[in-house]
Amino acid sequence: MSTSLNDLSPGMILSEDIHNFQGLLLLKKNTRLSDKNIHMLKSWGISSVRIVGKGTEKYNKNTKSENELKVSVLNEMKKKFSGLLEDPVMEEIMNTATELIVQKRMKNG
Amino acid sequence: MDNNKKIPDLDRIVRHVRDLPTLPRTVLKITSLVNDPQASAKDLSGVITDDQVLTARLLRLVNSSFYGFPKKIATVTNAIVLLGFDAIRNLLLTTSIFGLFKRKSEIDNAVLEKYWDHSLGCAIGAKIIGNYIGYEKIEELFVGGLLHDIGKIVEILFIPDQFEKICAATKEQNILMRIAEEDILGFNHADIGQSLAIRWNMPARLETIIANHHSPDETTQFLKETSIIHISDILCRSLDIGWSGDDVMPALNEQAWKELAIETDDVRMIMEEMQQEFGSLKGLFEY
Repeated sequence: MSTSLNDLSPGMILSEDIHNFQGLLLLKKNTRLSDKNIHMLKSWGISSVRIVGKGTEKYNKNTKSENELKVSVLNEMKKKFSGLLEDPVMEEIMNTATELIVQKRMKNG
Repeated sequence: MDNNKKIPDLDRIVRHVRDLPTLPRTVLKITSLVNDPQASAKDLSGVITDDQVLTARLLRLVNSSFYGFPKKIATVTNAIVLLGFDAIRNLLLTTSIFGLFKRKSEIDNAVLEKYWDHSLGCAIGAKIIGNYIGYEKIEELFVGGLLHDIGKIVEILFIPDQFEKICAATKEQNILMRIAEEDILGFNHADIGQSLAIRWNMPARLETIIANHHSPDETTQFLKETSIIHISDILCRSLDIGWSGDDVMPALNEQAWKELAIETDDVRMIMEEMQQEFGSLKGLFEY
Protein backbone atom coordinates (compact mmCIF):
# COMPACT_ATOMS: atom_id res chain seq x y z
CA MET A 1 0.00 0.00 0.00
CA SER A 2 1.48 3.32 -1.05
CA THR A 3 1.77 6.18 1.38
CA SER A 4 1.87 9.80 0.30
CA LEU A 5 5.10 11.64 1.22
CA ASN A 6 3.11 14.06 3.36
CA ASP A 7 2.00 11.21 5.59
CA LEU A 8 5.50 9.86 6.18
CA SER A 9 7.20 10.10 9.57
CA PRO A 10 10.75 9.42 10.69
CA GLY A 11 11.07 5.86 11.90
CA MET A 12 8.91 4.32 9.18
CA ILE A 13 10.65 1.68 7.10
CA LEU A 14 10.59 1.41 3.30
CA SER A 15 9.27 -1.85 1.90
CA GLU A 16 10.71 -1.24 -1.58
CA ASP A 17 13.74 0.29 -3.32
CA ILE A 18 13.06 3.88 -4.43
CA HIS A 19 14.41 5.08 -7.77
CA ASN A 20 14.30 8.50 -9.33
CA PHE A 21 12.97 9.11 -12.86
CA GLN A 22 16.37 8.24 -14.32
CA GLY A 23 16.42 4.87 -12.61
CA LEU A 24 19.09 5.92 -10.11
CA LEU A 25 18.67 4.17 -6.77
CA LEU A 26 17.90 6.75 -4.11
CA LEU A 27 17.05 4.60 -1.10
CA LYS A 28 17.12 0.89 -0.51
CA LYS A 29 14.34 -1.30 0.77
CA ASN A 30 14.33 -1.54 4.59
CA THR A 31 15.81 1.92 5.00
CA ARG A 32 14.52 3.62 8.10
CA LEU A 33 13.14 7.00 7.11
CA SER A 34 14.46 10.17 8.69
CA ASP A 35 13.54 13.81 8.21
CA LYS A 36 16.57 14.14 5.98
CA ASN A 37 15.78 11.37 3.54
CA ILE A 38 12.06 12.22 3.43
CA HIS A 39 13.14 15.70 2.44
CA MET A 40 15.46 14.21 -0.18
CA LEU A 41 12.64 12.16 -1.70
CA LYS A 42 10.49 15.26 -1.90
CA SER A 43 13.21 17.14 -3.69
CA TRP A 44 13.35 14.33 -6.28
CA GLY A 45 9.63 14.76 -6.91
CA ILE A 46 8.68 11.37 -5.47
CA SER A 47 5.03 11.53 -4.45
CA SER A 48 4.46 8.25 -2.64
CA VAL A 49 6.34 5.21 -1.37
CA ARG A 50 5.54 1.80 0.09
CA ILE A 51 6.36 1.31 3.72
CA VAL A 52 6.28 -1.61 6.11
CA GLY A 53 3.00 -1.85 7.98
CA LYS A 54 -0.29 -0.17 7.07
CA GLY A 55 1.13 3.29 7.32
CA THR A 56 -2.06 4.57 8.83
CA GLU A 57 -1.12 3.55 12.35
CA LYS A 58 1.17 5.88 14.26
CA TYR A 59 4.60 4.28 14.14
CA ASN A 60 5.43 4.95 17.74
CA LYS A 61 2.47 3.11 19.21
CA ASN A 62 3.64 2.24 22.67
CA THR A 63 3.49 -1.43 23.53
CA LYS A 64 3.87 -2.47 27.14
CA SER A 65 7.39 -3.87 26.73
CA GLU A 66 8.51 -0.77 24.87
CA ASN A 67 7.25 1.42 27.72
CA GLU A 68 9.02 -0.71 30.32
CA LEU A 69 12.23 -0.54 28.32
CA LYS A 70 11.89 3.20 27.96
CA VAL A 71 11.49 3.66 31.71
CA SER A 72 14.55 1.58 32.51
CA VAL A 73 16.72 3.25 29.86
CA LEU A 74 15.57 6.70 31.01
CA ASN A 75 16.53 5.87 34.58
CA GLU A 76 20.03 4.86 33.49
CA MET A 77 20.29 8.01 31.42
CA LYS A 78 19.26 10.26 34.26
CA LYS A 79 22.05 8.85 36.41
CA LYS A 80 24.52 9.37 33.60
CA PHE A 81 23.40 12.95 32.97
CA SER A 82 23.00 13.78 36.63
CA GLY A 83 23.86 17.37 37.44
CA LEU A 84 23.80 18.37 33.78
CA LEU A 85 20.09 18.52 32.99
CA GLU A 86 19.62 22.20 33.71
CA ASP A 87 21.17 22.68 30.29
CA PRO A 88 18.19 22.36 27.89
CA VAL A 89 20.47 21.04 25.15
CA MET A 90 21.68 18.21 27.38
CA GLU A 91 18.06 17.44 28.26
CA GLU A 92 17.21 17.22 24.57
CA ILE A 93 20.23 15.00 23.94
CA MET A 94 19.26 12.71 26.81
CA ASN A 95 15.64 12.37 25.71
CA THR A 96 16.56 11.78 22.09
CA ALA A 97 19.19 9.23 23.04
CA THR A 98 16.66 7.40 25.21
CA GLU A 99 14.22 7.14 22.33
CA LEU A 100 16.83 6.04 19.82
CA ILE A 101 18.30 3.42 22.14
CA VAL A 102 14.84 2.02 22.89
CA GLN A 103 14.01 1.95 19.17
CA LYS A 104 17.23 0.12 18.39
CA ARG A 105 16.78 -2.45 21.14
CA MET A 106 13.16 -3.05 20.10
CA LYS A 107 14.26 -3.55 16.50
CA ASN A 108 17.05 -5.96 17.40
CA GLY A 109 14.75 -7.96 19.67
CA MET B 1 46.96 24.70 30.87
CA ASP B 2 50.71 25.00 30.60
CA ASN B 3 51.37 22.59 27.77
CA ASN B 4 55.08 23.22 27.56
CA LYS B 5 55.58 22.16 31.13
CA LYS B 6 53.64 18.92 30.66
CA ILE B 7 55.12 17.66 27.43
CA PRO B 8 58.59 16.72 28.80
CA ASP B 9 56.86 14.47 31.39
CA LEU B 10 54.87 12.81 28.67
CA ASP B 11 57.89 12.35 26.50
CA ARG B 12 59.48 10.44 29.30
CA ILE B 13 56.57 8.04 29.54
CA VAL B 14 56.08 7.80 25.82
CA ARG B 15 59.79 7.12 25.27
CA HIS B 16 59.79 4.39 27.87
CA VAL B 17 56.76 2.68 26.50
CA ARG B 18 58.18 0.01 24.26
CA ASP B 19 56.95 -0.49 20.71
CA LEU B 20 54.87 2.67 20.58
CA PRO B 21 53.80 2.60 16.96
CA THR B 22 55.22 4.75 14.20
CA LEU B 23 53.20 5.61 11.14
CA PRO B 24 53.47 3.15 8.25
CA ARG B 25 56.09 4.08 5.68
CA THR B 26 53.53 4.50 2.92
CA VAL B 27 51.57 7.01 4.98
CA LEU B 28 54.76 8.95 5.70
CA LYS B 29 55.64 8.95 1.99
CA ILE B 30 52.16 10.15 1.13
CA THR B 31 52.40 12.95 3.68
CA SER B 32 55.61 14.26 2.14
CA LEU B 33 54.10 14.04 -1.36
CA VAL B 34 51.00 15.86 -0.18
CA ASN B 35 53.23 18.65 1.10
CA ASP B 36 55.16 18.82 -2.17
CA PRO B 37 53.60 21.38 -4.52
CA GLN B 38 55.16 19.61 -7.53
CA ALA B 39 53.61 16.24 -6.80
CA SER B 40 50.97 15.01 -9.22
CA ALA B 41 47.97 12.72 -8.75
CA LYS B 42 49.93 10.13 -10.70
CA ASP B 43 52.86 10.33 -8.23
CA LEU B 44 50.53 9.89 -5.31
CA SER B 45 48.62 7.09 -6.96
CA GLY B 46 51.89 5.30 -7.75
CA VAL B 47 52.93 5.21 -4.11
CA ILE B 48 49.55 3.97 -2.94
CA THR B 49 49.08 1.27 -5.57
CA ASP B 50 52.46 -0.24 -4.66
CA ASP B 51 50.71 -1.47 -1.53
CA GLN B 52 47.88 -3.76 -2.54
CA VAL B 53 46.34 -4.07 0.91
CA LEU B 54 46.29 -0.31 1.39
CA THR B 55 44.81 0.18 -2.08
CA ALA B 56 42.03 -2.31 -1.37
CA ARG B 57 41.23 -0.70 1.98
CA LEU B 58 41.21 2.77 0.50
CA LEU B 59 38.87 1.87 -2.35
CA ARG B 60 36.59 -0.03 -0.01
CA LEU B 61 36.29 2.99 2.25
CA VAL B 62 35.78 5.42 -0.61
CA ASN B 63 33.03 3.24 -2.09
CA SER B 64 31.26 2.65 1.22
CA SER B 65 28.50 4.61 2.87
CA PHE B 66 31.26 6.92 4.14
CA TYR B 67 30.48 9.07 1.12
CA GLY B 68 27.51 7.24 -0.34
CA PHE B 69 28.57 8.07 -3.88
CA PRO B 70 26.08 6.77 -6.42
CA LYS B 71 28.76 5.51 -8.79
CA LYS B 72 31.62 3.15 -7.95
CA ILE B 73 35.13 4.64 -7.87
CA ALA B 74 37.28 2.07 -9.58
CA THR B 75 40.83 3.42 -9.32
CA VAL B 76 43.03 5.20 -6.84
CA THR B 77 43.66 7.96 -9.40
CA ASN B 78 39.91 8.58 -9.71
CA ALA B 79 39.65 8.78 -5.94
CA ILE B 80 42.53 11.27 -5.76
CA VAL B 81 41.07 13.48 -8.48
CA LEU B 82 37.64 13.41 -6.89
CA LEU B 83 38.62 13.95 -3.27
CA GLY B 84 41.96 15.74 -3.33
CA PHE B 85 45.34 14.99 -1.76
CA ASP B 86 44.52 15.99 1.79
CA ALA B 87 41.39 13.88 1.93
CA ILE B 88 43.23 10.86 0.53
CA ARG B 89 46.02 11.28 3.05
CA ASN B 90 43.50 11.35 5.88
CA LEU B 91 41.61 8.36 4.51
CA LEU B 92 44.85 6.37 4.34
CA LEU B 93 45.60 7.33 7.90
CA THR B 94 42.10 6.22 8.86
CA THR B 95 42.53 2.79 7.34
CA SER B 96 46.00 2.38 8.90
CA ILE B 97 45.34 3.42 12.49
CA PHE B 98 43.68 0.29 13.81
CA GLY B 99 46.48 -1.95 12.57
CA LEU B 100 49.04 0.09 14.51
CA PHE B 101 47.56 -0.82 17.87
CA LYS B 102 47.52 -4.56 17.77
CA ARG B 103 45.54 -6.62 20.22
CA LYS B 104 47.62 -8.38 22.85
CA SER B 105 46.85 -11.69 24.45
CA GLU B 106 47.35 -10.48 28.05
CA ILE B 107 44.67 -7.84 27.82
CA ASP B 108 40.91 -8.03 27.57
CA ASN B 109 40.30 -7.55 23.86
CA ALA B 110 36.56 -7.25 24.31
CA VAL B 111 37.17 -4.13 26.40
CA LEU B 112 39.63 -2.75 23.83
CA GLU B 113 36.97 -3.19 21.16
CA LYS B 114 34.49 -1.07 23.12
CA TYR B 115 36.98 1.78 23.30
CA TRP B 116 37.55 1.55 19.55
CA ASP B 117 33.78 1.49 19.02
CA HIS B 118 33.54 4.76 20.92
CA SER B 119 36.36 6.28 18.86
CA LEU B 120 34.74 5.16 15.61
CA GLY B 121 31.38 6.51 16.78
CA CYS B 122 32.96 9.84 17.60
CA ALA B 123 34.68 9.93 14.19
CA ILE B 124 31.36 9.26 12.48
CA GLY B 125 29.62 11.92 14.56
CA ALA B 126 32.35 14.40 13.69
CA LYS B 127 31.87 13.71 9.99
CA ILE B 128 28.10 14.11 10.25
CA ILE B 129 28.33 17.35 12.23
CA GLY B 130 31.01 18.60 9.83
CA ASN B 131 28.71 17.97 6.88
CA TYR B 132 25.84 19.62 8.73
CA ILE B 133 27.75 22.86 9.27
CA GLY B 134 29.33 22.76 5.82
CA TYR B 135 32.89 22.12 7.01
CA GLU B 136 35.01 20.92 4.11
CA LYS B 137 37.78 18.78 5.53
CA ILE B 138 35.55 16.08 6.93
CA GLU B 139 38.20 13.39 6.48
CA GLU B 140 40.42 15.24 8.93
CA LEU B 141 37.54 15.50 11.40
CA PHE B 142 37.13 11.74 11.04
CA VAL B 143 40.77 11.17 11.95
CA GLY B 144 40.37 13.57 14.87
CA GLY B 145 37.43 11.55 16.15
CA LEU B 146 39.33 8.28 15.78
CA LEU B 147 42.30 9.65 17.69
CA HIS B 148 40.69 11.80 20.36
CA ASP B 149 40.87 8.99 22.92
CA ILE B 150 43.92 7.24 21.51
CA GLY B 151 45.60 7.98 24.84
CA LYS B 152 43.27 5.46 26.48
CA ILE B 153 44.22 2.82 23.91
CA VAL B 154 47.89 3.55 24.68
CA GLU B 155 47.18 3.10 28.39
CA ILE B 156 45.39 -0.22 27.86
CA LEU B 157 48.12 -1.66 25.66
CA PHE B 158 51.26 -0.17 27.16
CA ILE B 159 50.65 0.59 30.84
CA PRO B 160 47.93 -1.95 31.68
CA ASP B 161 48.65 -2.09 35.43
CA GLN B 162 48.18 1.62 35.83
CA PHE B 163 45.18 1.51 33.54
CA GLU B 164 43.58 -1.04 35.85
CA LYS B 165 44.08 1.32 38.81
CA ILE B 166 42.58 4.16 36.79
CA CYS B 167 39.53 2.06 35.91
CA ALA B 168 39.03 1.04 39.53
CA ALA B 169 39.27 4.64 40.78
CA THR B 170 36.91 5.84 38.03
CA LYS B 171 34.31 3.27 38.97
CA GLU B 172 34.63 3.59 42.76
CA GLN B 173 34.45 7.36 42.81
CA ASN B 174 32.01 7.62 39.89
CA ILE B 175 34.13 10.26 38.17
CA LEU B 176 35.28 11.01 34.65
CA MET B 177 38.23 8.83 33.65
CA ARG B 178 40.48 11.80 33.01
CA ILE B 179 40.19 12.89 36.65
CA ALA B 180 41.41 9.47 37.78
CA GLU B 181 44.18 9.63 35.15
CA GLU B 182 45.35 12.99 36.43
CA ASP B 183 45.39 11.66 40.00
CA ILE B 184 47.29 8.50 39.18
CA LEU B 185 49.50 9.49 36.23
CA GLY B 186 49.78 13.25 36.60
CA PHE B 187 48.29 13.76 33.13
CA ASN B 188 45.33 12.49 31.12
CA HIS B 189 44.62 10.67 27.85
CA ALA B 190 44.26 13.93 25.93
CA ASP B 191 47.85 14.77 26.89
CA ILE B 192 49.05 11.34 25.77
CA GLY B 193 47.17 11.75 22.50
CA GLN B 194 48.73 15.16 21.98
CA SER B 195 52.18 13.75 22.55
CA LEU B 196 51.52 11.00 20.01
CA ALA B 197 50.20 13.54 17.49
CA ILE B 198 53.41 15.53 17.85
CA ARG B 199 55.55 12.42 17.40
CA TRP B 200 53.60 11.52 14.30
CA ASN B 201 54.10 15.03 12.90
CA MET B 202 50.40 15.58 12.59
CA PRO B 203 49.08 19.00 11.58
CA ALA B 204 48.59 21.48 14.41
CA ARG B 205 44.86 21.29 13.86
CA LEU B 206 44.71 17.59 14.73
CA GLU B 207 47.05 18.04 17.65
CA THR B 208 44.80 20.77 19.06
CA ILE B 209 41.64 18.72 18.56
CA ILE B 210 43.09 15.79 20.47
CA ALA B 211 44.64 17.88 23.24
CA ASN B 212 41.59 20.05 23.91
CA HIS B 213 38.53 17.95 23.16
CA HIS B 214 37.46 18.15 26.84
CA SER B 215 37.73 21.93 27.02
CA PRO B 216 37.44 23.51 23.56
CA ASP B 217 37.31 26.99 25.05
CA GLU B 218 40.93 26.60 26.13
CA THR B 219 42.21 26.58 22.56
CA THR B 220 43.43 29.77 20.94
CA GLN B 221 42.83 28.38 17.46
CA PHE B 222 40.79 25.65 15.73
CA LEU B 223 37.84 26.22 18.04
CA LYS B 224 35.42 25.01 15.39
CA GLU B 225 37.15 21.67 14.81
CA THR B 226 37.74 21.04 18.51
CA SER B 227 34.11 21.87 19.26
CA ILE B 228 32.96 19.35 16.67
CA ILE B 229 34.90 16.53 18.32
CA HIS B 230 33.80 17.67 21.79
CA ILE B 231 30.13 17.56 20.83
CA SER B 232 30.44 14.35 18.85
CA ASP B 233 32.05 12.70 21.89
CA ILE B 234 29.07 13.70 24.03
CA LEU B 235 26.50 12.49 21.50
CA CYS B 236 28.37 9.23 21.09
CA ARG B 237 28.42 8.63 24.84
CA SER B 238 24.72 9.42 25.12
CA LEU B 239 23.93 6.86 22.40
CA ASP B 240 25.99 4.20 24.17
CA ILE B 241 28.11 3.64 21.08
CA GLY B 242 31.07 1.79 22.54
CA TRP B 243 32.42 2.85 25.90
CA SER B 244 34.61 5.72 27.04
CA GLY B 245 35.55 4.20 30.38
CA ASP B 246 33.30 6.23 32.65
CA ASP B 247 29.62 6.17 33.61
CA VAL B 248 29.17 9.92 33.89
CA MET B 249 28.72 12.45 31.10
CA PRO B 250 31.07 15.39 30.72
CA ALA B 251 29.36 18.79 30.66
CA LEU B 252 28.57 20.27 27.26
CA ASN B 253 30.90 23.20 26.72
CA GLU B 254 28.77 26.28 26.15
CA GLN B 255 31.24 27.99 23.88
CA ALA B 256 31.57 24.90 21.71
CA TRP B 257 27.81 24.70 21.28
CA LYS B 258 27.55 28.41 20.41
CA GLU B 259 30.45 28.12 17.97
CA LEU B 260 28.72 25.50 15.82
CA ALA B 261 25.21 26.99 16.11
CA ILE B 262 23.49 23.60 15.75
CA GLU B 263 19.71 23.95 15.89
CA THR B 264 18.30 21.99 18.81
CA ASP B 265 15.66 20.65 16.41
CA ASP B 266 18.40 19.10 14.28
CA VAL B 267 20.05 17.22 17.12
CA ARG B 268 17.74 14.25 16.62
CA MET B 269 18.55 13.93 12.94
CA ILE B 270 22.29 14.04 13.68
CA MET B 271 22.00 11.38 16.38
CA GLU B 272 19.87 9.10 14.20
CA GLU B 273 22.41 9.32 11.43
CA MET B 274 25.23 8.55 13.84
CA GLN B 275 23.46 5.43 15.03
CA GLN B 276 22.74 4.31 11.50
CA GLU B 277 26.17 5.00 10.06
CA PHE B 278 27.93 3.27 12.93
CA GLY B 279 25.97 0.17 12.07
CA SER B 280 27.01 0.33 8.43
CA LEU B 281 30.64 1.45 8.79
CA LYS B 282 31.75 -0.73 11.67
CA GLY B 283 32.17 -3.76 9.42
CA LEU B 284 34.79 -1.90 7.36
CA PHE B 285 37.36 -1.71 10.12
CA GLU B 286 39.21 -4.49 11.88
CA TYR B 287 40.12 -3.95 15.50
